[in-house]
Amino acid sequence: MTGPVLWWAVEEPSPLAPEPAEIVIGLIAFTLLFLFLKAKVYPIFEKTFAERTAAIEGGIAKAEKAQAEAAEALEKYNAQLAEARNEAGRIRTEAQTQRAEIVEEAKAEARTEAKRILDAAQSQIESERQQALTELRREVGGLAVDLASRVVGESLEDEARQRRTVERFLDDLEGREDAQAAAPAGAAG
Amino acid sequence: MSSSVLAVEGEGFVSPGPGTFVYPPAFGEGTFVTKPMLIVILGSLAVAVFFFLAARRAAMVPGKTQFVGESLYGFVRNSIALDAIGKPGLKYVPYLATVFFFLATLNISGILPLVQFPATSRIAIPLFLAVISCILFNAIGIKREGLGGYFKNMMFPSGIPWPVYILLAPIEFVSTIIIRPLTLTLRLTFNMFAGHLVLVLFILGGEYLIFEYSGVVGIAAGTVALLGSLVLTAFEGFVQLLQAYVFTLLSALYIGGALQDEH
Amino acid sequence: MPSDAPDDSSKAESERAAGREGEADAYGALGLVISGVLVWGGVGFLVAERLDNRLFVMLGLLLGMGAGLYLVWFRYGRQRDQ
Repeated sequence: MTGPVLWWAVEEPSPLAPEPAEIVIGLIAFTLLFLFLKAKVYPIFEKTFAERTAAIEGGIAKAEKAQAEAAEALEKYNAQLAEARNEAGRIRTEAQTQRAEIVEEAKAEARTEAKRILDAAQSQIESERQQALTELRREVGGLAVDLASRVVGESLEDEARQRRTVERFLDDLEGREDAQAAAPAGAAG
Repeated sequence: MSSSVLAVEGEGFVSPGPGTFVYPPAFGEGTFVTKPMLIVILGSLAVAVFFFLAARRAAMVPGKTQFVGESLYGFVRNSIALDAIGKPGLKYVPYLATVFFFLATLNISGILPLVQFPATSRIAIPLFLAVISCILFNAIGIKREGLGGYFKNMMFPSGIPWPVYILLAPIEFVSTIIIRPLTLTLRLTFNMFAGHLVLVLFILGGEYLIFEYSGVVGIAAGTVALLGSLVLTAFEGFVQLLQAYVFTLLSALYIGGALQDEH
Repeated sequence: MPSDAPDDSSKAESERAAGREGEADAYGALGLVISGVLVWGGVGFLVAERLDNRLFVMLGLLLGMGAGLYLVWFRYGRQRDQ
């Protein structure tokens, strides 16, 4: 019931006296506990700690990667945007050139058309003038006959006056023909 | 507690003494195992089972048991081993953690309902652990500096005229080899011893005042004593954890000292 | 979070080093004085027994305490000044 008693303990068992059986039992229990925990528990805890630390570090790395990816995407987007702008500018200049070409073409076409119409008008005028001239020549004969008959018909009182009349008439004819010939030529010029 | 209970039934109140800490064999006369031994065995088993459950399904996001287990282990690892030794201390975490869990459990058995006896108040338990710690840190020092170098550094620090060594060397030797484990042992044992004794005194005294002394005064004083024992129990719990921590921390400090360059 | 991730930063490390030295010093100093008193008080006791003169016990105790205190200064006080 009592352990080895030290010399100063008198009646009661001394609390300073270690019980050998308790040392043995305690030593065995502690050793077994130590071996068990060291083999089955502590390594798992350490592993979990390490994994958790790694997970935190891994999370940081992942975030950094995502950031880099986002920056890359932004750059790509910007590049695409710039490219699109270039393309639009190119198309615009192209369109402008095309427009100028079209306008030029249209102008040239209009010019040729105008020239064509003008030419046609001129040739028509010329032919009409010729026609009028021939018609007039034909009429002069008729008029002459008409005049002669009128002269014959009227009293032959004044031979001189008759002669003057005929001459004046002929002069008039000459002048009219000249004027008629000169007028269309001036218009065509 | 049987002897004290008998004492109470005798004439007057006899305050409990060291006899309170002596138990007959738990399973009748002739058997070997006593109550403190049972507490040691069952306590160790409880620690083993608890940590087995805590580590069984290790997950990144811990469950309740795993969280408690990891926190306790992390406490010894970071707040004792790393604090007292530094990085080389990680190697000794398994020993220190086991010491802490073992002692904390056997201390707490002092306020555990129905058990109510700190197994560490039996000097044998702190003694063998203190001896293991002592052997451990001396072995570390000897391994690091060699047998001669270790004791030379310990007992003959340079910078002292040689005749003084006669005076100082024995002190250093005794201080390191004997006083350290001795203070470890006694500090823990008597903290537990005294705490348990005071608790028993309050509880048995209160009981005696109420049932034996009786009367208004007896019942009032007894009630106060029993209420006081509740407060004391809470305080004891704190002391028990603290002493387990101190024992482990000092072991770690001694190991750290043996690992350092200057002794 | 359970106190898990090993905190190995150099700052924490140096703070810890300072803290643990303080603690180690306090316990170590006490141990040295106790040892001094025990060793030389013990020697004084033996001498006193042999010579049958109680004075040596007192001398031993004083010598031990003085030596212990000197060791405390030598071990811990001196290093502080450096």
